[in-house]
Order: sequence, then C-alpha cells, then structure tokens
Amino acid sequence: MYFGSYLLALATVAAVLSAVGYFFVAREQKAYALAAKWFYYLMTLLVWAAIGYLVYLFLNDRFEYSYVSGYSSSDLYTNYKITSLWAGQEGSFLLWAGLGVLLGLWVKAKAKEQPGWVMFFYMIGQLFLFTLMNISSPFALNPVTPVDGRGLNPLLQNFWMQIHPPIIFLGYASTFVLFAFAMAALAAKRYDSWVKYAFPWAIFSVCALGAGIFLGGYWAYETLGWGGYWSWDPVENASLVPWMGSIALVHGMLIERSRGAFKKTNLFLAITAFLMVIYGTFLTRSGVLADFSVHSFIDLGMNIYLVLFLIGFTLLSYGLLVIRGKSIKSNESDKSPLSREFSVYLGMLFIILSAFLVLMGMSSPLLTRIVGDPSAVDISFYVKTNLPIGIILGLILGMSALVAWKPLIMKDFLRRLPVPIAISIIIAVIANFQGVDNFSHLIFIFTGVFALTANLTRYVVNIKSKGIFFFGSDLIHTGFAMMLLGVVISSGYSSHAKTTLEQGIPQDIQGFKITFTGVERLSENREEVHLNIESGSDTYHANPLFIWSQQGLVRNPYIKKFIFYDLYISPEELKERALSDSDRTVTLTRGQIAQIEGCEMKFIEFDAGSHMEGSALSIGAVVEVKLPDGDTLKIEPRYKISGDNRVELEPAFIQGLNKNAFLLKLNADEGMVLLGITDKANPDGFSPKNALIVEVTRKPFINLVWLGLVLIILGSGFSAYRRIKEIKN
Amino acid sequence: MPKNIRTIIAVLVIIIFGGLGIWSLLDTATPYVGFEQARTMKKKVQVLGKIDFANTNYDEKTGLFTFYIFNDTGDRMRVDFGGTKPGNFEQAESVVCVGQYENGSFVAKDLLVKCPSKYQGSEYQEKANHKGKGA
Repeated sequence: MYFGSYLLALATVAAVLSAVGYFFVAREQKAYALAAKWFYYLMTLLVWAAIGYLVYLFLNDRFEYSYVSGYSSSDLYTNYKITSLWAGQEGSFLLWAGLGVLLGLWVKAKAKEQPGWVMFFYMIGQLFLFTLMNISSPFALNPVTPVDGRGLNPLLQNFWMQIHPPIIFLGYASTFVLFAFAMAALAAKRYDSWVKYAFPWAIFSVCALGAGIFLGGYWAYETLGWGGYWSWDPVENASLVPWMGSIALVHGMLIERSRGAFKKTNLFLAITAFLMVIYGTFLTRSGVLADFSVHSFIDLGMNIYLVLFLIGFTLLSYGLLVIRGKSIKSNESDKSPLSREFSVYLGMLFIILSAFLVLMGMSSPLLTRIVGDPSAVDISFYVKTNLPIGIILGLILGMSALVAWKPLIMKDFLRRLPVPIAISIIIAVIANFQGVDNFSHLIFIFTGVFALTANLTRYVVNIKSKGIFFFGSDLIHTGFAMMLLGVVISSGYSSHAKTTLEQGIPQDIQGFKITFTGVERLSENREEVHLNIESGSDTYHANPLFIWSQQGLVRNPYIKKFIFYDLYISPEELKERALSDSDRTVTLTRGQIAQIEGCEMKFIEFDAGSHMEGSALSIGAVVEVKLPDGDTLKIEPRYKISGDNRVELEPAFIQGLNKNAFLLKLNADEGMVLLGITDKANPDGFSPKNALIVEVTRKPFINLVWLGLVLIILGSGFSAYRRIKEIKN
Repeated sequence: MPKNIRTIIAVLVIIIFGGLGIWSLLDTATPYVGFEQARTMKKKVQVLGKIDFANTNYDEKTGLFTFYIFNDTGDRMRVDFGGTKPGNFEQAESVVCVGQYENGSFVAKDLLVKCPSKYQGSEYQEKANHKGKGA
C-alpha cells in the first residue's frame, strides 16, 4: 500500500459513510444530513487528491508505478504526460469517478425534492466506480523499476484523443444522475416531478455521449488509416447504446412535460440508459469478449464484481419499477396518427429497437455461448438490422415535421406533402443514375431526403414568424437525416484501390495521376512519404506518415477533401528497390583496375582545373577503359557543384560500349571515386529507390456526415438558447 | 383509432424486428473454431493461432499478405490476407483470423492481433493499431 492507494481507500470509506448518511436522510432522519454532506465533500477531495497525485507521478517520471511506466516516458511532452492519465484502464476509472463526484456536487445543489433518495442512489452508482477503482488501481508498483517508460502510443498523441475520453466519461457519469433521479422518484412514490429536474441532465447525457462518440469517430478517421470512423466494435457500441437510450428519453420527457404521458416509459428509459453503461463496462472490461474484440481488456480480477453489480443494479431498479408500476398514473397521450406526439412515439420506439439490436449484436458471444460455440456477429449484422430501421426513421422524422403538435386537418397535411416527396423522388432517381443500384439503399435515400427536406422546410418557413432560434429541433433533425445519408452513401459506395507505387513513376488511381516522389525521415521514428496528386491542371501534395513505436507501426493517412468526396490515402508499407540490372556501380582507388561490363577500368587521376566555369566547382575523373575488343580509350566524367550548391553530373560516353559513365561520388583525400555505368542519359537509376504500397479510397459524400454534425450542434445551441430564454422570462 | 393502437404497433414492430434480429444474428454469426473445424466449415469463422514469423510474404501483384499460423498440437495453416497488415502485427503473440477456408488456405477478411503484455490491452492503443473495416 502506498500513498495513492491510501487516498483511494479513504475516499471509498468516505463514500460508503456518505451513502449510509443519505439513506438515513431519505428515511426522514434529517440529523444525518450534515454528516452525509461532509463525507461527500471529503470523498470528493480525496478522489481529486488521488488524481492530482497520479498527475504528479506522471510529471516526475515515477516509473516504479507500472501505470506510469506503461503509458509515459521521460521524453514525452508535458501535456501528454497529463493526458496519459486516461490512456489506460486503471486511470480512466479514476477519471470517471473523479468526474462522477464533481457532477454529484451539482446534483446535490439542484435536487430540491427527495434529496436524500437522489443522493443515496447516486452514491450507490458511485460505489460501483469506487470498487473498480480500488481493484484495478493505477497505483500498483512494478516489481523492478524500469529505466524508462514504454511511452504513449503516438496515435494517442493527438488533440482529439486528449479530449475524447474525458467527454465520453462525462457522458457515462451523467447517466448515473438519470438513474438517481428515476430511482428516487420510485422510492419516494413521487412520479410527477422528477422529470423537471432530470430533463436538463438527459439533454446533458445526449450531448456528452454524442460529442464523445463523434470525437472518437473523427479521430479514427483522421489518424487510424483504416478509412473508417466507426467499426461496430463493442467498445464503440458500449457508448452508442446509452446514447440512443438517452435520445429516446429526451423525447419521452418532452411529451411527459407537455401532457403528463409516458411516465413509466421515462422511468424505464432513465434506468436503462444507466444499466446499459454498466453492462457495456462489464462487456468491455471483464474479458468475456477478449477473443472477439480488439479493444477489450483482459480480466484484471474484477469480473466477479462487475457481474455482481450488474445483477444487483438490474434487480434493484427493474424490481422497484415493477413493484411501483401499478401506482404510476400517466395521462393519455394523443393517439391520432396525424399528431406530432404520435410520430415522437414512433421515433422513440424505433430508436429503442435499434439500440436493442445493437445490444444483441454486441452480446452475441454471450448469447451464442448458451446454445453452442460462442460466435461474434459480423459487421454486416448491424447493417442488415439497422438499415430498415433507418428507412423507417427517415419516414417518421419527415412526417413529424409535417404534422403539428395539435391534431391537424387532413387537407393541411396533404398540402405540405407533395414538395418533399417530389424532391426525394428526384434525388433517388439521380442517385440511381449515379450508380446506386441497391434497392434498399434507394429507398433509404428517398426517406432520408424526405426527412431532410421536410425538416429544413419547416425550419426555414418558420424563421420569419418565430426567428432562427425557435425550431432548433428541426435543424437537429435535418442534420441527423443528412448525417445518416452521408454514413450510408460514403460507406456503401466508397471505392478502394490498393497498389504499389514505384518512386518517380506516375500511376492513374481513382481518376488521379499519383506519383510517389520520395521519403523524408523527419526524426528517428517518423518517416514522411511525399506524393504528388495531379488532376487536370491541379496538383496537390500529400504527405502520409509512418511512425514506429514500441506499440507497433502507426500509419497516418492523408485526406484530400473535395466537395463531393474525400480522397483517403492510406500508406501501408515502404519497400526498398535494388538497382536494375543495366545500372552498375564500381568503387575505384587511384591506379586500381576493376572488371565491369566486360571491360577493364582504371582510375588514373582527378582533373580539377581544366573545366572551370565561372565560380562553379568542377572535378573530373580520368578513367582508362580497355574495351572487350582490346581498344583502349580515356574518358572523363565530371562532378560539378554550381554557385547555388546544385550538383550536376556530366556523363562521359563510352564509345563501342554504348553506355554512359557517371562520376557519382568522390573522395579527394583518399583518391577514391564511385562510378556508375548505365544505358541511360541520366544518373537517376543510381539514387536508391523506394516503392510504396498504398491504399487509395474515394469516399463519396462523406462531407454530409460532418455537415449534418454541424447542423446538429447548431440546432442544439439554438434550442438551448431558446429554453434558457424561456426560463429567464 | 382503437384505444390501444400504440401497444398493437409496438408489439407488431418488436415481433418483426426481433425476428429480423435473431435471423441476422444466426446468419452472420462467425463461430470461434479450431483449425480442423475451420477447414471443413463452409462459412465465415474465427481461428486463433500463433504466427510463424519466419515465413511471411507479401505479393505485390495480388496485394495478398500470406503467413502461417500454428497451434499447440503443431497443426499449421496458411492464411491469405488482402487488407492492411495491422500495425502491431510484428509484436503480436497470436492472432485471430476472421474469414473462410478456401482451397488450401484460410482467406482472412480481418485480423485481430493479440499482444503479450496486459498493458498493450489498452482500449485506445489496440483500436489504434487495428485495421477495421467499418463504415
């Protein structure tokens, strides 16, 4: 046990005491409130002291700690030494707990009703993190202190990777808040007011999880070089499922706030979003998927705790929901199919369904283990099941923009229908001519464009009367539809070409003339590849990167963005090429004779003076050549350095052999020359050549993904602005 | 509209998509099998093996990376991989090959590299080195 471990152990004791205190507060024993509060503060302080101490260890290169030596090295930049804190499993649990206790301070201040229950259930959630944090502690020591650390994987030395984990853990931590409010409502049998307090947190969850997912995806696209931003890996799905759950919850809460409906559904969704975070943690951290996921951690001895917590939380929360179920009275929601409420209901249904199918896919090794050989599903599973849902969601999204919150007359609805439908049909037909031949993709494009145009139209039409901030939700829906379109088109219709580029020889790839011009060594472990890309009269320069590290080879792609597509250049391997058979070199010292190309060559002397041109330096090598037929001749290839330090090699033609001789290198002190004999009129053949194995991918309409994202962010900002203004008025 | 239309829709939709989910799951499941089983199965499977580093080859014409994996019983299997070699392949202790056995070799669509140190098991580091095939 060392200082850091003591901090964690004490923090855990304080957390337990605080939880017990809040339990008594919840049971109307108000005397415990003060103690519970102060134990909470003490816990917060201790957790952050532990985080601070770990940062201190990183900054001071304390490699006796295996977490520090595993993720840092003495030559690492200071800012990366700090972010190495969350580079691995142990530190990321600590960070997660740290963010959790901070959010708790805010929850404590805002929970006006049943604060005891809210904080009790919040602490129950925190104890999960505290348990894991103690079991896989970042303060474990190395048996032998290494001289230097292993260093941080170069891929993590990236801006997006520095901020992605804290944001995703903030998202995870926020689902604990939703759980606490929902459970408190159930425990205290007060089902009507919790949504008021939990609603901002649900929005917070959607934003944090969404931002974390997008940052991770953007990082993958920009730096990983496999050309994608999403690979349906369990670690990715573990954040996707709670995100979809919180999206459904926000929509359900909107209806509950306006009509008092969906009370049970919302309680269920708030609890489930939290349980999905716990389940995702179990799947990815317990080692049960170790054989199926590249990201999964091996079991660090916390498997049993993860299972116990998962079962405990599930029984406690769903059990309480079932027991209380009969006493929860909801209002009826509007069931007219032409109401916005009805489309919100359908939208929620399909989002939950999609989340459920993703959950099924990521759990497949466990599900199939029950019936036989454990099997993981192929990525096609996610596409097969989610494409039809995407199609239907597009339709629902479009419809939701065409119907108002109150029931409207059929005539009104029919009047709004033709324009979006017509645009969607036109775009789908154009897509078909452009090569989209898959029927379900065409249908998807149709409904996606329908959703996009219907929402965008509603937004634009209402700007005049309501201003740009009022219908932020329409902008979010527009962006969402746009993003889905971008995802399907860019992944379904990207074209790959893998080829070997010989240095200096252009090749036509993906409609571009691409030339591999050379390699530049930037540092000991970084090599930059230079490529020229020509298209008509335009020339671009691309420089993908190879980085070698203890963690393996990293290939940084180069992405050339165009309006309608990205050209994604992923370097795979460099190969050194030997000289061709017709290019021969020979090293000679003064007076030495060598056999080459069937003749005898003898280096006589240097000739420095006779060819002086201006200020340029020019040295010749006088070589005596005895041809195979016995004739002897003298040649004098020259090595020139001009005023601006350019080297020019002047060949000497060997009559009777039909070859050129070049003076490639010389050493005047030792009287040594390097001669090159070739058929060619230039010495290019003698500079060492490389070949680059490269994958060039054309990704159509990927900008729709990022543009959609911008609209979502913009729409969210507008909505937030509108709500804040409403509260102030 | 009947009063419980929402429930009816929900039940219908769940049955349809639940069925689609189960059917797709069975259709796309790639079981984890041994070498012998991999050779006889006519579907996509996953096999785990150690890499014979002395015997690897990249064919520039076909773009195929060929190597051999072996297991504890000494059984060897040839693997052909058309994708990008994972960045930490050289450091790998063993590798999971996802694909199908065809005409004397295992044609891998994806390689999952397994590293010896527990610290290389980091979520982001592994993701970093993995060549995925996603969207």
